[in-house]
Amino acid sequence: MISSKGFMAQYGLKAYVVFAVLLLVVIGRLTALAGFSYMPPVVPADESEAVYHWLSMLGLPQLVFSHSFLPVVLDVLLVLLPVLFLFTLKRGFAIGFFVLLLLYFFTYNMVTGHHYHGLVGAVLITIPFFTKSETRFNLLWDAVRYYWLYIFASAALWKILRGTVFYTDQLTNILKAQQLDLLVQQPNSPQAQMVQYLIANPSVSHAVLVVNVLVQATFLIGFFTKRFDTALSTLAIVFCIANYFVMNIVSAELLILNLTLVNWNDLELKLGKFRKQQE
Amino acid sequence: MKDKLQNSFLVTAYKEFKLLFAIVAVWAIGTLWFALHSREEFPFLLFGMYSLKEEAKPEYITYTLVVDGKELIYADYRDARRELLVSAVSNNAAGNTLAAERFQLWVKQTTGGKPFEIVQRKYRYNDKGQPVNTHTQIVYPYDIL
Repeated sequence: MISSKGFMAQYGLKAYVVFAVLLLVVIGRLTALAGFSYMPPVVPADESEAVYHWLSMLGLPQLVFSHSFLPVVLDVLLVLLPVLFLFTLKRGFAIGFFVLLLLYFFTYNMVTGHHYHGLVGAVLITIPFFTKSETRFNLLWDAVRYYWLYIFASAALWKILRGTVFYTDQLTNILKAQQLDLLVQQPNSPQAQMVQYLIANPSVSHAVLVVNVLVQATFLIGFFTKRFDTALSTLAIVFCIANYFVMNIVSAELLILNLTLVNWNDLELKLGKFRKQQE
Repeated sequence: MKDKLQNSFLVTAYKEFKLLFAIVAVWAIGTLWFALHSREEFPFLLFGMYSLKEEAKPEYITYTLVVDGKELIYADYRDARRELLVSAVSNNAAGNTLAAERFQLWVKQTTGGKPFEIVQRKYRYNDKGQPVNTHTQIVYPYDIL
Protein backbone atom coordinates (compact mmCIF):
# COMPACT_ATOMS: atom_id res chain seq x y z
CA MET A 1 0.00 0.00 0.00
CA ILE A 2 1.37 3.43 -0.88
CA SER A 3 0.76 6.56 1.23
CA SER A 4 -1.69 9.20 -0.02
CA LYS A 5 1.30 11.45 -0.82
CA GLY A 6 2.79 8.49 -2.65
CA PHE A 7 -0.50 7.94 -4.44
CA MET A 8 -0.66 11.54 -5.65
CA ALA A 9 2.90 11.29 -6.97
CA GLN A 10 1.99 8.12 -8.86
CA TYR A 11 -1.32 9.61 -10.03
CA GLY A 12 0.62 12.58 -11.41
CA LEU A 13 3.16 10.34 -13.13
CA LYS A 14 0.41 8.23 -14.73
CA ALA A 15 -1.51 11.35 -15.73
CA TYR A 16 1.53 12.90 -17.45
CA VAL A 17 2.45 9.72 -19.31
CA VAL A 18 -1.11 8.76 -20.32
CA PHE A 19 -2.14 12.23 -21.49
CA ALA A 20 1.18 12.83 -23.26
CA VAL A 21 0.56 9.62 -25.23
CA LEU A 22 -3.08 10.64 -25.83
CA LEU A 23 -1.87 13.97 -27.13
CA LEU A 24 0.44 12.14 -29.54
CA VAL A 25 -2.50 9.98 -30.69
CA VAL A 26 -4.61 13.07 -31.38
CA ILE A 27 -1.79 14.97 -33.08
CA GLY A 28 -1.05 11.85 -35.13
CA ARG A 29 -4.65 11.77 -36.35
CA LEU A 30 -4.83 15.48 -37.07
CA THR A 31 -1.53 15.56 -38.98
CA ALA A 32 -2.67 12.51 -40.96
CA LEU A 33 -5.65 14.66 -42.04
CA ALA A 34 -8.14 12.44 -40.24
CA GLY A 35 -9.56 15.00 -37.81
CA PHE A 36 -13.14 16.29 -37.80
CA SER A 37 -12.18 18.86 -40.47
CA TYR A 38 -11.13 16.34 -43.09
CA MET A 39 -13.86 13.72 -42.85
CA PRO A 40 -15.80 12.75 -45.96
CA PRO A 41 -19.60 13.02 -46.01
CA VAL A 42 -21.42 10.04 -44.60
CA VAL A 43 -23.05 7.57 -47.01
CA PRO A 44 -26.57 6.79 -45.75
CA ALA A 45 -26.64 3.23 -44.50
CA ASP A 46 -28.64 1.09 -42.10
CA GLU A 47 -26.63 1.11 -38.90
CA SER A 48 -26.47 -2.36 -37.37
CA GLU A 49 -25.81 -1.19 -33.80
CA ALA A 50 -28.52 0.53 -31.78
CA VAL A 51 -26.27 3.34 -30.47
CA TYR A 52 -25.17 4.25 -34.01
CA HIS A 53 -28.77 4.05 -35.20
CA TRP A 54 -29.90 6.47 -32.45
CA LEU A 55 -27.01 8.83 -33.13
CA SER A 56 -27.92 8.77 -36.81
CA MET A 57 -31.54 9.64 -35.93
CA LEU A 58 -30.25 12.52 -33.79
CA GLY A 59 -28.46 13.86 -36.85
CA LEU A 60 -24.88 12.79 -36.18
CA PRO A 61 -22.49 13.20 -37.90
CA GLN A 62 -24.22 15.77 -40.17
CA LEU A 63 -24.65 17.98 -37.08
CA VAL A 64 -20.86 18.18 -36.68
CA PHE A 65 -20.46 19.30 -40.28
CA SER A 66 -23.47 21.66 -40.27
CA HIS A 67 -21.24 24.72 -39.79
CA SER A 68 -17.84 24.94 -41.41
CA PHE A 69 -16.21 26.29 -38.24
CA LEU A 70 -17.50 23.55 -35.90
CA PRO A 71 -15.14 20.73 -37.08
CA VAL A 72 -12.19 23.12 -36.74
CA VAL A 73 -13.23 24.09 -33.19
CA LEU A 74 -13.59 20.40 -32.28
CA ASP A 75 -10.13 19.61 -33.70
CA VAL A 76 -8.59 22.45 -31.69
CA LEU A 77 -10.35 21.20 -28.54
CA LEU A 78 -9.03 17.68 -29.16
CA VAL A 79 -5.53 19.08 -28.67
CA LEU A 80 -6.35 21.74 -26.12
CA LEU A 81 -8.18 19.59 -23.54
CA PRO A 82 -5.36 17.08 -22.91
CA VAL A 83 -2.86 19.95 -22.80
CA LEU A 84 -4.98 21.75 -20.19
CA PHE A 85 -5.26 18.54 -18.18
CA LEU A 86 -1.48 18.04 -18.32
CA PHE A 87 -0.92 21.53 -16.92
CA THR A 88 -3.64 21.58 -14.29
CA LEU A 89 -4.58 17.92 -13.57
CA LYS A 90 -8.17 19.18 -13.22
CA ARG A 91 -10.66 16.34 -13.69
CA GLY A 92 -13.04 18.43 -15.77
CA PHE A 93 -10.57 18.54 -18.65
CA ALA A 94 -10.20 14.74 -18.57
CA ILE A 95 -13.99 14.33 -18.64
CA GLY A 96 -14.31 16.89 -21.45
CA PHE A 97 -11.63 15.11 -23.45
CA PHE A 98 -13.37 11.75 -22.89
CA VAL A 99 -16.67 13.14 -24.25
CA LEU A 100 -14.99 14.76 -27.24
CA LEU A 101 -12.96 11.65 -28.05
CA LEU A 102 -16.13 9.57 -27.86
CA LEU A 103 -17.81 11.99 -30.29
CA TYR A 104 -14.80 11.65 -32.62
CA PHE A 105 -14.93 7.84 -32.27
CA PHE A 106 -18.60 7.70 -33.31
CA THR A 107 -18.23 10.30 -36.08
CA TYR A 108 -15.20 8.53 -37.60
CA ASN A 109 -16.94 5.13 -37.46
CA MET A 110 -20.14 6.46 -39.01
CA VAL A 111 -18.28 8.24 -41.78
CA THR A 112 -16.16 5.20 -42.69
CA GLY A 113 -19.08 2.80 -42.21
CA HIS A 114 -16.65 0.52 -40.43
CA HIS A 115 -16.99 0.21 -36.67
CA TYR A 116 -13.30 0.53 -35.94
CA HIS A 117 -12.28 -0.40 -32.37
CA GLY A 118 -8.78 1.04 -32.22
CA LEU A 119 -9.72 4.26 -30.44
CA VAL A 120 -11.48 2.42 -27.60
CA GLY A 121 -8.15 2.23 -25.77
CA ALA A 122 -7.70 6.00 -25.85
CA VAL A 123 -11.29 6.56 -24.69
CA LEU A 124 -11.14 4.04 -21.85
CA ILE A 125 -7.81 5.04 -20.35
CA THR A 126 -9.09 8.55 -19.62
CA ILE A 127 -11.80 7.20 -17.27
CA PRO A 128 -9.59 6.57 -14.18
CA PHE A 129 -8.66 10.26 -14.27
CA PHE A 130 -12.28 11.23 -13.55
CA THR A 131 -11.47 10.72 -9.86
CA LYS A 132 -8.64 11.56 -7.48
CA SER A 133 -9.77 9.13 -4.78
CA GLU A 134 -7.00 6.58 -4.35
CA THR A 135 -9.28 3.53 -4.03
CA ARG A 136 -11.50 4.51 -6.93
CA PHE A 137 -8.62 5.48 -9.20
CA ASN A 138 -6.80 2.20 -8.55
CA LEU A 139 -9.96 0.16 -9.12
CA LEU A 140 -10.70 1.98 -12.39
CA TRP A 141 -7.07 1.54 -13.48
CA ASP A 142 -7.37 -2.19 -12.75
CA ALA A 143 -10.65 -2.33 -14.67
CA VAL A 144 -8.94 -0.84 -17.73
CA ARG A 145 -6.11 -3.37 -17.30
CA TYR A 146 -8.68 -6.21 -17.31
CA TYR A 147 -10.26 -4.77 -20.45
CA TRP A 148 -6.85 -4.86 -22.19
CA LEU A 149 -6.52 -8.53 -21.19
CA TYR A 150 -10.11 -9.18 -22.34
CA ILE A 151 -9.35 -7.81 -25.83
CA PHE A 152 -6.59 -10.36 -26.43
CA ALA A 153 -8.05 -13.30 -24.50
CA SER A 154 -11.47 -12.98 -26.17
CA ALA A 155 -9.86 -12.73 -29.62
CA ALA A 156 -8.22 -16.11 -28.96
CA LEU A 157 -11.41 -17.64 -27.54
CA TRP A 158 -13.50 -16.46 -30.51
CA LYS A 159 -11.11 -18.10 -32.97
CA ILE A 160 -11.07 -21.34 -30.96
CA LEU A 161 -14.84 -21.49 -30.34
CA ARG A 162 -15.70 -20.57 -33.93
CA GLY A 163 -13.20 -23.17 -35.10
CA THR A 164 -11.43 -20.78 -37.46
CA VAL A 165 -8.07 -21.44 -35.83
CA PHE A 166 -8.35 -24.96 -37.25
CA TYR A 167 -9.25 -23.75 -40.78
CA THR A 168 -6.07 -24.00 -42.86
CA ASP A 169 -7.03 -21.34 -45.42
CA GLN A 170 -8.29 -18.77 -42.90
CA LEU A 171 -5.31 -16.37 -42.89
CA THR A 172 -4.66 -16.89 -46.59
CA ASN A 173 -8.23 -15.86 -47.43
CA ILE A 174 -8.13 -12.89 -45.03
CA LEU A 175 -4.89 -11.65 -46.62
CA LYS A 176 -6.34 -11.93 -50.13
CA ALA A 177 -9.00 -9.36 -49.21
CA GLN A 178 -7.05 -7.30 -46.67
CA GLN A 179 -3.85 -6.77 -48.65
CA LEU A 180 -5.22 -6.45 -52.19
CA ASP A 181 -4.36 -2.73 -52.48
CA LEU A 182 -0.79 -3.36 -51.31
CA LEU A 183 -0.31 -6.30 -53.68
CA VAL A 184 -1.69 -4.35 -56.62
CA GLN A 185 -0.06 -0.99 -55.95
CA GLN A 186 3.32 -2.01 -54.51
CA PRO A 187 3.90 -5.64 -55.59
CA ASN A 188 7.68 -5.43 -55.26
CA SER A 189 7.81 -4.08 -51.70
CA PRO A 190 9.23 -6.50 -49.07
CA GLN A 191 5.88 -6.46 -47.24
CA ALA A 192 3.96 -7.38 -50.41
CA GLN A 193 6.46 -10.17 -51.14
CA MET A 194 5.93 -11.60 -47.66
CA VAL A 195 2.13 -11.37 -47.96
CA GLN A 196 2.27 -13.01 -51.39
CA TYR A 197 4.33 -15.87 -49.93
CA LEU A 198 1.79 -16.35 -47.13
CA ILE A 199 -1.10 -16.41 -49.63
CA ALA A 200 0.69 -18.95 -51.83
CA ASN A 201 1.57 -21.14 -48.82
CA PRO A 202 -1.56 -21.74 -46.72
CA SER A 203 0.23 -24.18 -44.37
CA VAL A 204 2.74 -21.44 -43.41
CA SER A 205 0.02 -18.81 -42.98
CA HIS A 206 -1.97 -21.30 -40.90
CA ALA A 207 1.06 -21.75 -38.61
CA VAL A 208 1.24 -17.94 -38.27
CA LEU A 209 -2.46 -17.90 -37.30
CA VAL A 210 -1.96 -20.63 -34.68
CA VAL A 211 1.00 -18.76 -33.12
CA ASN A 212 -1.14 -15.59 -33.14
CA VAL A 213 -3.95 -17.36 -31.26
CA LEU A 214 -1.46 -18.80 -28.74
CA VAL A 215 -0.05 -15.30 -28.13
CA GLN A 216 -3.56 -13.91 -27.63
CA ALA A 217 -4.53 -16.79 -25.31
CA THR A 218 -1.47 -16.10 -23.12
CA PHE A 219 -3.22 -12.96 -21.88
CA LEU A 220 -5.64 -15.18 -19.91
CA ILE A 221 -2.84 -15.50 -17.32
CA GLY A 222 -3.23 -11.82 -16.51
CA PHE A 223 -6.70 -12.44 -15.02
CA PHE A 224 -5.13 -14.54 -12.24
CA THR A 225 -1.84 -12.77 -11.51
CA LYS A 226 0.02 -9.55 -12.20
CA ARG A 227 3.38 -11.34 -11.98
CA PHE A 228 3.71 -11.68 -15.75
CA ASP A 229 2.51 -8.19 -16.69
CA THR A 230 5.90 -7.11 -18.07
CA ALA A 231 6.07 -10.21 -20.29
CA LEU A 232 2.46 -9.64 -21.44
CA SER A 233 3.26 -6.02 -22.17
CA THR A 234 6.19 -7.12 -24.38
CA LEU A 235 3.96 -9.70 -26.10
CA ALA A 236 1.37 -7.00 -26.83
CA ILE A 237 4.04 -4.85 -28.51
CA VAL A 238 5.31 -7.82 -30.54
CA PHE A 239 1.72 -8.65 -31.55
CA CYS A 240 1.06 -5.09 -32.74
CA ILE A 241 4.30 -4.99 -34.79
CA ALA A 242 3.51 -8.39 -36.38
CA ASN A 243 -0.08 -7.27 -37.00
CA TYR A 244 1.23 -4.28 -38.90
CA PHE A 245 3.58 -6.29 -41.13
CA VAL A 246 1.19 -9.17 -41.85
CA MET A 247 -2.23 -7.50 -41.86
CA ASN A 248 -1.30 -3.84 -42.39
CA ILE A 249 -3.29 -2.97 -39.27
CA VAL A 250 -1.89 -0.23 -37.07
CA SER A 251 -2.83 -1.02 -33.46
CA ALA A 252 -0.71 1.76 -31.97
CA GLU A 253 -3.78 3.56 -30.62
CA LEU A 254 -5.02 0.45 -28.84
CA LEU A 255 -1.51 -0.09 -27.48
CA ILE A 256 -2.01 2.82 -25.08
CA LEU A 257 -3.78 0.28 -22.84
CA ASN A 258 -0.39 -1.40 -22.44
CA LEU A 259 0.39 1.35 -19.91
CA THR A 260 -1.85 -0.54 -17.46
CA LEU A 261 0.64 -3.45 -17.53
CA VAL A 262 3.59 -1.23 -16.58
CA ASN A 263 5.01 -1.66 -13.06
CA TRP A 264 4.52 1.94 -11.94
CA ASN A 265 6.02 1.43 -8.46
CA ASP A 266 9.21 0.25 -10.09
CA LEU A 267 9.15 3.10 -12.61
CA GLU A 268 8.65 5.63 -9.84
CA LEU A 269 11.60 4.22 -7.88
CA LYS A 270 13.83 4.37 -10.95
CA LEU A 271 12.76 7.93 -11.66
CA GLY A 272 13.46 8.87 -8.04
CA LYS A 273 16.97 7.40 -8.26
CA PHE A 274 17.56 9.18 -11.56
CA ARG A 275 16.48 12.50 -10.03
CA LYS A 276 18.83 12.00 -7.05
CA GLN A 277 21.72 11.24 -9.39
CA GLN A 278 20.97 14.42 -11.33
CA GLU A 279 21.06 16.43 -8.10
CA MET B 1 -6.89 -18.68 -1.28
CA LYS B 2 -9.64 -17.03 0.78
CA ASP B 3 -7.42 -13.96 1.27
CA LYS B 4 -6.75 -13.83 -2.45
CA LEU B 5 -10.47 -13.95 -3.17
CA GLN B 6 -11.16 -11.25 -0.58
CA ASN B 7 -8.63 -8.97 -2.28
CA SER B 8 -9.79 -9.76 -5.81
CA PHE B 9 -10.89 -6.94 -8.11
CA LEU B 10 -14.60 -7.82 -8.07
CA VAL B 11 -14.86 -8.24 -4.28
CA THR B 12 -12.93 -4.99 -3.65
CA ALA B 13 -15.07 -3.15 -6.20
CA TYR B 14 -18.22 -4.52 -4.54
CA LYS B 15 -17.03 -3.32 -1.13
CA GLU B 16 -15.44 0.00 -2.06
CA PHE B 17 -16.98 1.21 -5.34
CA LYS B 18 -20.47 -0.18 -5.89
CA LEU B 19 -21.13 1.87 -9.05
CA LEU B 20 -18.07 0.39 -10.75
CA PHE B 21 -19.12 -3.10 -9.64
CA ALA B 22 -22.58 -2.55 -11.15
CA ILE B 23 -21.10 -1.22 -14.43
CA VAL B 24 -18.70 -4.19 -14.68
CA ALA B 25 -21.52 -6.64 -13.94
CA VAL B 26 -23.85 -5.10 -16.57
CA TRP B 27 -21.01 -4.95 -19.09
CA ALA B 28 -20.00 -8.59 -18.47
CA ILE B 29 -23.60 -9.88 -18.74
CA GLY B 30 -24.30 -7.70 -21.79
CA THR B 31 -21.11 -8.74 -23.56
CA LEU B 32 -21.81 -12.41 -22.86
CA TRP B 33 -25.41 -12.07 -24.08
CA PHE B 34 -24.40 -10.35 -27.33
CA ALA B 35 -21.47 -12.76 -27.78
CA LEU B 36 -23.88 -15.70 -27.54
CA HIS B 37 -25.94 -14.05 -30.29
CA SER B 38 -22.78 -13.20 -32.32
CA ARG B 39 -23.92 -9.60 -32.43
CA GLU B 40 -22.09 -6.44 -31.48
CA GLU B 41 -23.71 -3.52 -29.69
CA PHE B 42 -21.72 -0.60 -28.30
CA PRO B 43 -20.44 -0.60 -25.52
CA PHE B 44 -20.43 -4.40 -25.46
CA LEU B 45 -17.63 -4.61 -28.00
CA LEU B 46 -16.52 -7.99 -29.28
CA PHE B 47 -12.87 -8.35 -30.25
CA GLY B 48 -12.95 -11.32 -32.59
CA MET B 49 -9.97 -9.96 -34.58
CA TYR B 50 -10.92 -11.77 -37.81
CA SER B 51 -12.44 -14.79 -36.09
CA LEU B 52 -15.31 -15.22 -38.59
CA LYS B 53 -14.63 -17.91 -41.15
CA GLU B 54 -13.21 -16.32 -44.29
CA GLU B 55 -13.94 -18.19 -47.50
CA ALA B 56 -12.00 -17.57 -50.72
CA LYS B 57 -13.91 -15.37 -53.16
CA PRO B 58 -13.99 -15.88 -56.92
CA GLU B 59 -12.97 -12.24 -57.40
CA TYR B 60 -11.83 -9.30 -55.31
CA ILE B 61 -12.79 -5.69 -56.04
CA THR B 62 -10.72 -2.59 -55.43
CA TYR B 63 -11.47 1.09 -56.07
CA THR B 64 -8.70 3.54 -56.87
CA LEU B 65 -8.64 7.29 -57.00
CA VAL B 66 -6.69 8.60 -59.98
CA VAL B 67 -5.79 12.27 -59.57
CA ASP B 68 -4.60 14.19 -62.59
CA GLY B 69 -3.66 10.91 -64.29
CA LYS B 70 -1.71 9.62 -61.29
CA GLU B 71 -3.03 6.80 -59.10
CA LEU B 72 -3.16 7.49 -55.35
CA ILE B 73 -1.00 4.93 -53.55
CA TYR B 74 -2.94 4.10 -50.39
CA ALA B 75 0.20 2.91 -48.57
CA ASP B 76 1.56 6.46 -48.77
CA TYR B 77 -1.14 7.60 -46.35
CA ARG B 78 -1.20 7.05 -42.62
CA ASP B 79 -3.66 4.46 -41.32
CA ALA B 80 -6.43 6.83 -40.14
CA ARG B 81 -6.36 8.82 -43.39
CA ARG B 82 -6.09 5.71 -45.58
CA GLU B 83 -9.22 4.28 -43.94
CA LEU B 84 -11.10 7.51 -44.72
CA LEU B 85 -9.95 7.50 -48.35
CA VAL B 86 -10.60 3.82 -49.05
CA SER B 87 -13.97 3.74 -47.29
CA ALA B 88 -15.17 7.03 -48.81
CA VAL B 89 -14.37 5.90 -52.34
CA SER B 90 -15.71 2.35 -51.99
CA ASN B 91 -18.82 3.32 -49.94
CA ASN B 92 -19.79 6.03 -52.43
CA ALA B 93 -19.11 3.72 -55.38
CA ALA B 94 -21.25 1.00 -53.79
CA GLY B 95 -23.96 3.50 -52.84
CA ASN B 96 -23.98 5.11 -56.31
CA THR B 97 -23.27 8.49 -54.74
CA LEU B 98 -20.02 9.32 -56.53
CA ALA B 99 -21.71 12.24 -58.25
CA ALA B 100 -23.19 13.62 -55.02
CA GLU B 101 -22.15 17.23 -54.46
CA ARG B 102 -20.80 16.72 -50.92
CA PHE B 103 -18.65 13.80 -52.01
CA GLN B 104 -17.35 15.77 -54.98
CA LEU B 105 -16.45 18.68 -52.70
CA TRP B 106 -14.63 16.37 -50.34
CA VAL B 107 -12.60 14.76 -53.14
CA LYS B 108 -11.72 18.22 -54.46
CA GLN B 109 -10.56 19.22 -50.96
CA THR B 110 -8.51 16.01 -50.83
CA THR B 111 -6.99 16.35 -54.29
CA GLY B 112 -6.42 20.08 -54.22
CA GLY B 113 -9.10 20.66 -56.87
CA LYS B 114 -7.31 18.59 -59.52
CA PRO B 115 -9.34 16.48 -61.97
CA PHE B 116 -9.88 12.92 -60.84
CA GLU B 117 -11.42 9.64 -61.83
CA ILE B 118 -12.38 6.58 -59.85
CA VAL B 119 -11.42 3.21 -61.24
CA GLN B 120 -12.90 -0.13 -60.26
CA ARG B 121 -10.69 -3.17 -60.78
CA LYS B 122 -11.47 -6.84 -60.27
CA TYR B 123 -8.85 -9.47 -59.50
CA ARG B 124 -8.48 -13.18 -58.96
CA TYR B 125 -5.44 -14.79 -57.37
CA ASN B 126 -3.04 -17.15 -59.15
CA ASP B 127 -1.13 -20.02 -57.50
CA LYS B 128 1.81 -17.73 -56.73
CA GLY B 129 -0.43 -15.57 -54.54
CA GLN B 130 -0.42 -12.72 -57.06
CA PRO B 131 -3.61 -10.84 -57.94
CA VAL B 132 -4.39 -10.98 -61.65
CA ASN B 133 -6.49 -8.19 -63.12
CA THR B 134 -9.64 -9.50 -64.82
CA HIS B 135 -11.68 -6.35 -65.28
CA THR B 136 -11.11 -2.58 -65.20
CA GLN B 137 -13.79 0.05 -65.37
CA ILE B 138 -13.81 3.80 -64.84
CA VAL B 139 -16.78 4.30 -62.53
CA TYR B 140 -16.40 8.04 -62.26
CA PRO B 141 -14.91 9.91 -65.19
CA TYR B 142 -14.01 13.47 -64.21
CA ASP B 143 -14.82 14.83 -67.66
CA ILE B 144 -18.57 14.46 -67.03
CA LEU B 145 -18.20 17.33 -64.58
